[in-house]
Amino acid sequence: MGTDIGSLGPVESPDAVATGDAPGLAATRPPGGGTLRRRKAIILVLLCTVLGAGAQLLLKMGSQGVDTASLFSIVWSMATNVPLVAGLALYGLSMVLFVHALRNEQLSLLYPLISLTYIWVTVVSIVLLNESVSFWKVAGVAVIVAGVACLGRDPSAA
Amino acid sequence: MNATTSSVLLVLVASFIGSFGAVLLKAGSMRVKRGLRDMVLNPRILLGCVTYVLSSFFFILAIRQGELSILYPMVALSYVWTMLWAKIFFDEPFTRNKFAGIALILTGVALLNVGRG
Repeated sequence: MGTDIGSLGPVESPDAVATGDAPGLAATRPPGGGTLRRRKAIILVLLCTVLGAGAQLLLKMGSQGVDTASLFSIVWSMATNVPLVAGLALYGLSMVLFVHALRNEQLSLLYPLISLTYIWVTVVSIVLLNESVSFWKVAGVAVIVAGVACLGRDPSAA
Repeated sequence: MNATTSSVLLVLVASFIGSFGAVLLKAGSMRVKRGLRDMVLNPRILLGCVTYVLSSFFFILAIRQGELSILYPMVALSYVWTMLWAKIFFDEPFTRNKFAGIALILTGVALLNVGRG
């Protein structure tokens, strides 16, 4: 994923209407949507972020088995790599679920939630992959999360 | 080493290629009338999916070396490219929120790279 799951949002949801300057999440209300439906959509997107982080973990694990001797060996070692294929499938699944969730809910409510994926990936990297923790890393991720959430609150994004 | 320069460059390439995926899906979706068959057979949507696969190819090469916790957040740069293409190809306006979001993402990526050095 050189792109992000959230970047599909504005593309796939022509019917999602965002209320840009709403003071908070609670203030956004779907046209004719109930609380239960909204709750379901939020849970679905939270699931997407967890699946997305799981996908990244699998990709990182699988990437260690890529043979870079030649272009053919790269492609072959990727296509026959179980964690890589599983990671890509999980990523695809999380994208489909996200688009599905967008059908029933407002973009401005769901889109900022997607940036949670960055937090999960950071936590998983540090806890499971033993990656380093630094001030710059935490600050960088926090600022990026804020930035992605900011894009999602855009009224013209839908 | 936290993440090599070549890994960072590969993520940049992946995010750049990936941003065209969204453009192609958008262009395709505007031509889909109804039904799954219409969507699956749409050449722009198909090409968009191929673009995502190509972008994934570079991303997987990128994360071979270096920390995922530095390289993955840089994928957010694809939003910056996408905003640019949205303006150029679909004439979508730049707004205050978009501008702030892009500024924050660029700042965050810069901070990650400060920590890398």
